[in-house]
This record gives sequence, C-alpha cells and structure tokens, in this order.
Amino acid sequence: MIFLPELIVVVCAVAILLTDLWLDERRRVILAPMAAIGLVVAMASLIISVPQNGLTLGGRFSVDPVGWWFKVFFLLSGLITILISLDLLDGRVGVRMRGIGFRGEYYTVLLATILGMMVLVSARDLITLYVSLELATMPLFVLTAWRRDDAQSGEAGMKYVIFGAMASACMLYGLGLLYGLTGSTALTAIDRQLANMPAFWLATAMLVAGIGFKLTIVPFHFWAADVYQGAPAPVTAYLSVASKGAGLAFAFQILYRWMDGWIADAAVGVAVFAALTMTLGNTVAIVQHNIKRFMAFSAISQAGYLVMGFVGGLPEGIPAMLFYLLVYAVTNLAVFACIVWFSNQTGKEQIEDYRGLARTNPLIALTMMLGLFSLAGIPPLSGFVGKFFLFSVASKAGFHWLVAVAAVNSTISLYYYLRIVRQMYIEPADKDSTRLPITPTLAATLMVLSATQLLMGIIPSLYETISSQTLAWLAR
Amino acid sequence: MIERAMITILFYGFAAAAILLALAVTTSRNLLRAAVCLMGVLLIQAAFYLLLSADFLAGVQVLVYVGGIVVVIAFVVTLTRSSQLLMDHPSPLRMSLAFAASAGFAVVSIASLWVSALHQPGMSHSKVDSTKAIGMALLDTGKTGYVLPFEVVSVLLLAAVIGGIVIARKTPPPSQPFTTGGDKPGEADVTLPKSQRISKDGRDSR
Repeated sequence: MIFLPELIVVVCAVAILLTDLWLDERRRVILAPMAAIGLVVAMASLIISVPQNGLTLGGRFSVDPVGWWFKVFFLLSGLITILISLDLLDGRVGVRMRGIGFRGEYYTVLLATILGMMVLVSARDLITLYVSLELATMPLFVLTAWRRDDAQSGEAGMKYVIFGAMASACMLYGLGLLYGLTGSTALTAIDRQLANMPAFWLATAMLVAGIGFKLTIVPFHFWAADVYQGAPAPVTAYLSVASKGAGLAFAFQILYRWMDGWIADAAVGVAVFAALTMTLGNTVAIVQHNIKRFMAFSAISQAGYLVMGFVGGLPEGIPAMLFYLLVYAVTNLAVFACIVWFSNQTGKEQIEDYRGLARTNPLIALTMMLGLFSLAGIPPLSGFVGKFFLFSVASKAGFHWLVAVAAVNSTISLYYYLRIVRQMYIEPADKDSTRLPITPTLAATLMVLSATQLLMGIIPSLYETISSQTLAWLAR
Repeated sequence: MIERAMITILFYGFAAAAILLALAVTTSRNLLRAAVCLMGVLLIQAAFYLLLSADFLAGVQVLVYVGGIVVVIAFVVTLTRSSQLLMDHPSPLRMSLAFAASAGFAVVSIASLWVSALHQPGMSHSKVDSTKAIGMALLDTGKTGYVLPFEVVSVLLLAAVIGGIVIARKTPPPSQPFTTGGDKPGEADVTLPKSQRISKDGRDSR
C-alpha cells in the first residue's frame, strides 16, 4: 500500500467534514486536533510503511526518494499550518476577528490541498499531474478569501482566482501541445528530435509561465503581494511554504522526468530567472510596511534561491533543494507563527507595530529574530547551511556570477530582516504596552520549530540522509 | 473519399464560425448577447468532437457546457441586471497594448504550429462503443486505467463545492467562541441587512 499516507489524509478530511455535522459550535475545537493527528498518522505511515521505490496502479502512481522527501515536506508544512491556525479559528485571540469561522470546512479544504500535492509528486502521467496540481491550487483560492467580511481578503481571493485561471490556461495549453507532439500522456523522457520544432518551444514557454506563477518567479510574481496581504495570516504561511513546494515538485516532475536532459541546456535561462527573482524580491521587500506583504517579497526572493537547485541539472541540486525546502518550511513557519500570534493578540500587521516586542515578550521576539536570521542565512542557523549547499551547486555548474548575485542578495535581505529586529529590540515600547499572552499550543509549536531550525543547522545527518538517498536514485 | 472531403469542408466551416463567434463573445457590449455567442462556440466545439468520432465527449460537452454553464451564466446576467454595467472604457494605450499582446500571441502560436509536425494518431472510424470504453477506463486500476485522476477529481469537486458554499452562504459564520474563557459560544456579531436576517424560529423575517 504505497498510497497509504494519501488514503489516510483523504479519510481524515472526510471524517472531519462528517464529524463537523454532529457537533455544536463549542465542541468543534476537537476538529483541529483531529486534522493534526491525521497528518501525524499519515507521516508515520509514510516513514514506516512506504518504501522509497515502488509503483502501483500499473505504474501510474509511484514513489521514489525525491517524491518521498517531498511528501515529508508537504505533511510537515500542513501539520505546522494546522497548529498555527487553530488559535485563530477557535477564537483564542486577543482581538476578535470578524468573519472567520467554518472550522470543519477549513481543515477539510486544507487537507484536500495536501492530498493534491502528495499525488502530484507521485503522478506518472500528464492527466493525473494536471488534475492534482489543480487540487493543490483551487482550494487555496477559497482559503485566501476565508475572511468573509473583509474586503481585502475577498479581493485577494478574486485576484488569485483570475491569475490562477490564467496560469492554468497557459499550463494546459503547454501540456496539450506537448501531448500533440508526442502522442502520449506518460511522463517518460521526450524524444530529443522534438527540440527542432517551434511548437515544442512554445509549449515550453507556456509551461514556464505556469510553473513561474506557482513558484512566484519574476516576472510571474505580481499576484503574490496582494494575495499574501489579503489572506488570513495562517493561510499566507501555507501559501508561502506548501504552495511553493508544490510548484517545485511540479517543476521537478516536468524537468527531470519528462524533459529529462533538457534542464542542462536551459541552465542559463534558469540562472537568469533565479537572479531576477531574488533581486526583485529583495529590493522591493525593503520598502514594505505591512508585515505580510513584506513576507511575500521575502518569499519571492527565497523562491529565487530554491530555483538555483535546478541550475545546470546537476544531481547535487536536488538534495540541496529538498534540504533547503525543509529548512525553509521550519524557518518561515516559525516566523509566521510569530506573525499569526501577534495579529491574533493585537490585530495589527504593520512592521512598526512590533516596536518594543523584546521588552514585553522577550522569548517570542527571540524566536522571531532567530527565524529571520535563519531566513537571511546567518551561520550557524539552518538557513545558512541550506543556502550554502544551493550556492555550491550553482558554483559547481559554473555559474559564479549567480553565486555573486545571490551573496549580494543575502546581504540585502539581512538589512531588511534587521529592520524588524530593530523594531523589536531597539525602538522603545509604547508606554501602555503590556505583556501579550500566548496559548500553550502556539508556544509549544514555536519552541519545537526554533529548536528544529537550530538543530538542522548543526546536525548534518538530515542532509546526509537526503543526499545519499536521492543521489543513489538519481544516479541510477 | 467524398466522406473525407465532406469532413474537411465541415471542419473549416465550423472553425471559421467558431472564431467569429469567439470574437463576438469578447467584443460584445451586451453580456447576454456574449453568453449566447459563447453557447454557439461551445456547440461548435461539440461538433468538432463529433467529427473526431468522440460521441460521448460531444454529448458531455452539450450537457455540461451548453446546458449547464451557459445557462447559469445567462441566469446570473438576467438576475443581477449587470448587463448595463459593462461600460468599461480602457484608454487607447491599454487597448492597443492588449491588442498587440493578443495578436502577437496568435501569430506566434499559429506560426509555430504551422511549421511543426504534430503527432498523427491513426484516424479510427471503427464503431467501438466509446461510452463504455471511457467508463471502463475511468475505473480501471491497470496500466491503461485512469482511476487515480478520476478519484483526485472527485476530491477536487468536493473541496470546490465546500469552498463555494463557505464563500457564498448568506448566514454569517458562527463567530469565534471564546473557548479558553469557558463562556458560552459567542453570538454571531456580524449584522446582516434586515432583509437577509433569519428570525429565531427559523422563518425568514421578510
């Protein structure tokens, strides 16, 4: 049963939906633990019972080490997202936020997107690939607009739908053209003869646009800022981590399975996209005042670093990318846990509102600072190690200029991450500001995330495991 | 021979009509008229499927798109009276940019498809029961089956329906109960306009 984790996620989603029917509003607090336990069980079944090589359904669904690690990432980020969103949905907040609710539906839809992402990495034909990408994307439109009385949330949802539909149309056109050229929907290596045809390049351009939308690669990034700002904070966290991972998984499926071997030819293009993305994300992030918008541009620049794993199509790029993805999930979600907590307690989202946080809540300010430093890539935090592996891949592929651009960008990013740290540590607190309370769940989540992010930077065994497993498979 | 010539003539006729109707959909200032033109485009698409001897697909196309989606669009247009609201006058610069972009895209795709040799599947005019074959393939768990995308689509539809209901339903969400305080679940504090409020005994107050 190599699709046991997927099955558990589906069963859990349906169980939540049905349990929700029989509960009155007060007892619905058990829905979040149900979802969290479901994901933990799915993760356990993935780790215990799913081999790293296997296929079923006549080869239409298969697992390999890369897909296996992607699934670990999706389940992990889904689990953390549930843990940081339950306070908001259960109403354990300082400032009541209007118009957010429907907990059973929220967790069901969230689990459905996780299912989509997990099937996405296991798909071996175009139809499954496309359908599961839609399953990973379409419920996110709804989650973005989940705050129903908030005009900004509705606007964000609307923008996301329109841009998402456009990107899906591009992608579908590209996939259709490639089907027309090859006459097969199987994700097996494409005949190199096709490269001579303009239609092939048209299809590739369409696919690049579709993938670029998911991954917020410049110049397909323009939806991100408004959507991230308008969405409820936990959904923003999920969008910036899991949705980006789904985009990377899709890119991996297309580039390494289908267009096997093309990626080496496209190295310059990938490098240019990576450089553009990180530079624009970093420079625009400097002038932001809303913290969610700020994190949107930070996430765009992080996507630029992640794409560096594809440069040159080196096998080392894949473990480096997977490791950075896991690091990014833990780090970015730690920062977002602080943002969610702060907006739950105060209802404020401006960077200036964080002033003096280190006086009132020193521990939370510390975890947030650690997360931000890790995103900037300060040693010995895990973000540094992850970036180091990605940069070394680019340098091994011969793109020294890209490494230079990325290093300069890391410095720029340190400046704007320090802006928040400055507000928290140097600016004086307001006179009437008091210590803000934190719920035990969120406190525990934050503690575990911070510890994990420190350990990932110090203990090398995680990267070594990923690297040995994926490299052995890629070298076959 | 004559059959093939007929099919070719029919194809080009339908194709020209589809392009003209699609242009009418985008340029029409009246939403209802645009919806009717859209219906024409979708019907012609069903005709294409018939020409390719995909009878089942043609039937589904008519049922779902023409019978379902266009009718819903027509309902929305007539119920909201928004047909008069479509009075957006973009600036000449934006219009010319949009025109240049779409014309450029059309030229590039036509040119690249013109010079590329697409994969030619063998034209099959065998009278297999395509409905039955599709049904079998959708639930087949073997090499040629599509059970996985079929199931994924079912989850996708479920999630989309749930999301649509959450976004569109009239009742406000049960507002967040303060579970930590141990007090009663909070009343909905979102006020709806009077006409939409539902009175205590469940009857509409209108």
